[in-house]
This record gives sequence, structure tokens and C-alpha cells, in this order.
Amino acid sequence: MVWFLARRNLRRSVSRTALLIAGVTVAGGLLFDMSMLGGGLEQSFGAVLGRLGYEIRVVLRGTLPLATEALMAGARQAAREIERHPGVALASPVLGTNLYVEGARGQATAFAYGLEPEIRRVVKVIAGQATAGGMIINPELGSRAGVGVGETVRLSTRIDPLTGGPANAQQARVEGIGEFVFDLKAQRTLALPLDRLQALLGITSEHASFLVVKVRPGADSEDVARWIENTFPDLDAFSIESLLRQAREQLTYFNHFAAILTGVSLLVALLLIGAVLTLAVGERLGELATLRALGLSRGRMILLILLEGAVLAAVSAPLALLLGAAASRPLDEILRATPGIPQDLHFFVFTPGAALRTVGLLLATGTLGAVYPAWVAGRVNVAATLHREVQ
Amino acid sequence: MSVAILDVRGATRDYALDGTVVSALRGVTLQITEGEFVAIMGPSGSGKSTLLHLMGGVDLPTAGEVMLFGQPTRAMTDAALSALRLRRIGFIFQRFFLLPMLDVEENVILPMLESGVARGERAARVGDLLTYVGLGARRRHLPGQLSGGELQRAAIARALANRPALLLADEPTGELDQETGREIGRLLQRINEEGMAVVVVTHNPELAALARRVLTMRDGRLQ
Repeated sequence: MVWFLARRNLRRSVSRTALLIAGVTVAGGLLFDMSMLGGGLEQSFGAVLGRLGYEIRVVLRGTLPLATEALMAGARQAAREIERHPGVALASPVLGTNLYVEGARGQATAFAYGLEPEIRRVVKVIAGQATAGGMIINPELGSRAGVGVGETVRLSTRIDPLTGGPANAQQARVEGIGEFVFDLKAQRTLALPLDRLQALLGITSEHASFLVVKVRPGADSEDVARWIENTFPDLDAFSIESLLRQAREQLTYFNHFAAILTGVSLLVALLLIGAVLTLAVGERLGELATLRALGLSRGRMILLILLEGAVLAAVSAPLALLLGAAASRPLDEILRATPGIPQDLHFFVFTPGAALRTVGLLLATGTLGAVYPAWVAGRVNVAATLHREVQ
Repeated sequence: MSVAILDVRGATRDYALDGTVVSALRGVTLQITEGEFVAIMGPSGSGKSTLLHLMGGVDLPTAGEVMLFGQPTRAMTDAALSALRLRRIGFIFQRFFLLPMLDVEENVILPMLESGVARGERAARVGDLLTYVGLGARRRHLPGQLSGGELQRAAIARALANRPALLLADEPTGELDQETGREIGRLLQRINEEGMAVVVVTHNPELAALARRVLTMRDGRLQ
């Protein structure tokens, strides 16, 4: 009976129920957004790193894990030695530098990757093709320099102070247009074969900015990273897990922000449900006394009111998920507009865990919000209330 | 020999009111046997409703004893007393107290839901009950769409839902016009003739005249 009544009570005052559900939906939507924000950036960062297809990044000791300025001498040799580890499937040097690019529409600066053919999955080709010896540029660079697939640009490491044009420029043909995993918004990027970029920079084939290492299935990337650091005292090895750990530590601000807003939204939902149910119980004392007289025990009466709170939360939960999902898009866009954020990174990331956490917290809040009115209902003096109701 | 289903022994009910003790009942003793029809009359404030509440186990005596179906109400837990009310006692109130968001059929089904009557049995019983009280055509109507007499008929059907042995009615005609009050009285009489004990608290002498025993209360005592 209590389950039947708890559901039917939603119909009692349709407008009040609708307003209450709307209020809980808004609080629940915010709760869902904060749940997505709480782990979203870390999750998104992990997804971006995972898409690269390697698990360890090796840099010169003391430099930042994602920096490219310092050059590692003996990079190819180190890669060969790392590949001898039974847990390593591939180790490959990567060079990163800034270049001047001159095309039909003029000159532009761009970030250039020098990549071995086997790790070019860092680029997702969207037009043209990606052959082992070709150059791929991103759409922003193509647009800025005014070049497309099959056209030629001039690449240079510096500007000639006399002419104002590229010094010692080399020609390169655009073979494909692609999207780069780590691109920032409006960043101009290109990828060349590693040896071509080394030649352009005038460095040896042993020089690179960092190494990427892919571990074999079943191998522990943390163990491999430790082995690399022990074997090469001049190198730091960062596994994706350790990068995520560092990111997590740096994202405590977001987590605190999300936790505070989660608390606020839960409190709002709790107070809404508590206030409305307390009012409703006060209006229904005669009815509740009647139910007790008909044979509903005190425990079942308390359960009835607790269920009413839970049912209100349960009805609001799917609406809250929809509202939260809809609101997260513009909020994500606002945060992603922050300078220095890679294009593929998202702050609000939907996960089944975030949805489940939201629904669970809402149900718990609905039930908790009903605790006080349930206590009031459980204490109804049946005889006195029935007597008072007919006065 | 008739069996006592309700035995009130020297029951007293005191209330604390603004620091003073008010005695609503003063040592009332009576027995209700199976199949009886008893009317309790008396002026307002004489303790009729208080006595009815003690008889139905919704209130407990301050002193004395109320034995419901052989069990002392003061010694029973709330759950046990509630279960006893659910299965063996039907209540009818002056103000009907039907749940406004439920239709007539759903209101009648409530006690059966709580006592775990199977769905098929519930459907059969609710149909029979509504036909019995003359509301067969009103089963889908909400309480707000019914007249006073129809509301009380629906409340009677709800009280009979679990086939109780004792029906307690507190001023069942108090909100009704004379003719509708007569119809409700005849319905209660019919229920009693079919074997159920009925106790009615009333100011209505016409209704009391239908009872086989009429008790009068004054100042918390049976005359």
C-alpha cells in the first residue's frame, strides 16, 4: 500500500508536484554537471593520451613532460635500447619545434612534429593522404598559409633579417590535411618525417625532443617507466598513469569547485523536498490518522513519507540528467575557450558513473529530505487528530 | 453462547490540558459480543468518541483495560495493534476521510493492499463491495465527484474490505441530510444482520433506534 500511495501522491496537487519536480530537476542538473566536471578533465586527458597509442613519454631529466624545447642527444640509440625490454613493443623518437611556413597567402608560424612513420597516428588525416615521406598540415595552417593538398610551401627555421622572408627555406609538398591530438584552439601545426625535420634544423639523426614508448599487451607501463629511469639516469619516463596522477593533483581546484557546488545542489534539493513534504504532511494529518486507524503501522507510515521523498527524486532524476547534459555543452565551451586548452580536451565528460552517482545522490537526498516530515507523520496522535478533524 | 470480541474493563482516559488533568473517560466497563449492534449516545464532550477510539485500539486507556479479540491493547506493540485493526476492525468516520487523489475503487482497495490480498481476490472483492453499498457505477469517480451519502457508502465499503468482525462508526450520519442518514443507517443494519458486530457513536436517535442495545454516556461515564 505504501508504494501505491507514494506514487499516487504525486497526483495530489499536480501544480505543486510539478514545481517541486522542476526545482529538484534544476538542482539535480547542476549535480550531474558537477559530477561530470569532477572527473571530466582527467577522464578526457586520459582519453586524449590513450588515443596516441603509446603509454610512456620519455624526456630529458628535469624538463616538463610535455615540453619540446630541450634536445635529447642519442635519442635513437636510447629508443633502440628501450625496445630491447621485453615489455616494450615500440620506442620512437619525436622532434618538436617551431617553423616559419610560407604559402600562397603569406607567411605563418607553426609547430612542427618530426615523426617516425609508425607513430603518425598522432595525426588523424581528414583530406589527402599520409605517406611515409609526406607532410601533413592542420586545417588552421592550410587556411592561414593559403595552401591545400598537393600544393607546396616553404619551410624555414628562422627569418632572414635583411629580406624579412624565410632563411635557408626548403620546399615541402602538402600530402594531407589532418587533425593533431594535442592542438590548442587556433594552433597551426604540421608533421614531417623525423629525418626531414632533423635535416631542416641542421641536427643529427640522433637528436629528438622526446621518445614515445608503446608497451606490449599485459606489460605494466609503470614498471617499464621505472626501468627506463633506472637504466637511463639522464631521462625521465612518464607513464600515462603518472601523467594522469599529476593532472589529478593539479586539478584539485576543479574537484573542490565541483564538490562545493555538488554540496549546494544537494542541499537545495534536500530543503525543497523537506519543506514541501513537511507542508504536505501538515495538511494531511487527518488523512494520515485515518490511514493509521485503518491499520497502517507507525513504521509503515514513516516508510510511506520516506518513499514519497524518494519517488519525487526518482521522477526528477531522468529530467535532471537531460537538463545537466544540455547545460554541460555551453558550460564546456566556455571553459574550453580558456587559452592553452587542447582542442580535444573536455571539462564535462559524460560517464555512466557520473549518471549513476547523480541518480544515487538524488534518491538519497529525496529520502533524507523526507526524514523530518516522516518523523512528524510517525508521531501523529491518531485519536486526537481524528477528534480535532471533526471539530 | 455469544463470544465477547471487545471487553472494556474500568477504562479511564485522562488528558493533560494546560497543566490540569482532564478525565474524558472515568472507569467505563462494557462488553461487545459477536454480531451485536450497539449505539452509544450522549451529549458532546461526554466521552463517546474517546471510548470508540479505545475500542478500536487507536488510543490506549490511562487506567483499566481494553481487551480486543482477547488481547490487551496496552500490552500490544504498535505493529501488532495496527495489524489487528487492519484485519479485524473497520472504521467509519463522520468526515469520511477518503483519500482525494484516489478513485472510489482505489480507496476501497487500500486496506486489502496493506493486508496483502492477492490481485484477483482484490478485484472480485471490490466489485462485490461496491455493488453491495450501491456504488457499482461510481467506482472510477474521485471523492470530489461524489455526494455526502455516496462518500459515506464508499467509506463503508473501505471499512468492510478486509471482512472485519467489528465495525466502529463515529457519527456516520453527522454530515448527511436526514434521508441520506436513514439510508446509511439501513446499510449499517443490513451489515449487522449479516453477522458483523457494529458499534455506532451518534447523536442521531433515529440511527440509535436501529441498534439492539443503546448506551448513554455523560461526563465520561456510562449511564
